[in-house]
Amino acid sequence: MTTHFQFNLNQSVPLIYSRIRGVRGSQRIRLVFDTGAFMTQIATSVIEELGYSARDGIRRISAYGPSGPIDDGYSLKISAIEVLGKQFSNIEVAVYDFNNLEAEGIAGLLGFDVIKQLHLEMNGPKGELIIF
Amino acid sequence: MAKKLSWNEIKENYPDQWVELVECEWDPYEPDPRNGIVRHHAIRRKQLHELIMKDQPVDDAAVVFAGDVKFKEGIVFNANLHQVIDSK
Repeated sequence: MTTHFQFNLNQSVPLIYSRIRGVRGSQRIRLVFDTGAFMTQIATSVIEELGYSARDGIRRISAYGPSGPIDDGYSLKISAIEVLGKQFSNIEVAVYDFNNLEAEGIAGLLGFDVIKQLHLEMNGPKGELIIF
Repeated sequence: MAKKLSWNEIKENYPDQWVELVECEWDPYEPDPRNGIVRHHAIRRKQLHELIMKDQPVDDAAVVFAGDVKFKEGIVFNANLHQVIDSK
């Protein structure tokens, strides 16, 4: 059985639906489908709205891009993330101030830690992610 | 309370703004919500965050950008790699 998920080809990056569950309930946001991100990343604003704070952090984390360090943040475990028809519970995510990305309309990245658990196929011209 | 708007109406009324939608219908197979009631909106996500935190929490709200994610000319969106620098 396959399930088809759409992303909008008019956007510069593939954005997909997700539901993030925290201690204060859940919030639905879009995530960038980002195979190049080592870890799933959520903006500090979203994390705080879900009832978490830096006090819940497990580790300090630094984001690196091609030219070196970009930003410092921390990781924590969130209750669950629902994305692409699957639920991932008690999952560790990286938390950063997405100051630059939020200005571009982005508040989270679905990273390779989650993506690698999926059997999927992308049909780029149709804007489809097909999950097996 | 404000009335429920379609996603196209939300984009028309709040162009390039961050919106918090309640009573939102959103098909998880689609990248955009179908409709919702705009509870809060702001140009910057940080401003919207302040409005949300001052108000009562609403379970299962949708918080989205009502515009196209298009990077300005000359800006490249990089994949981020991560390095754990220490344990807390």
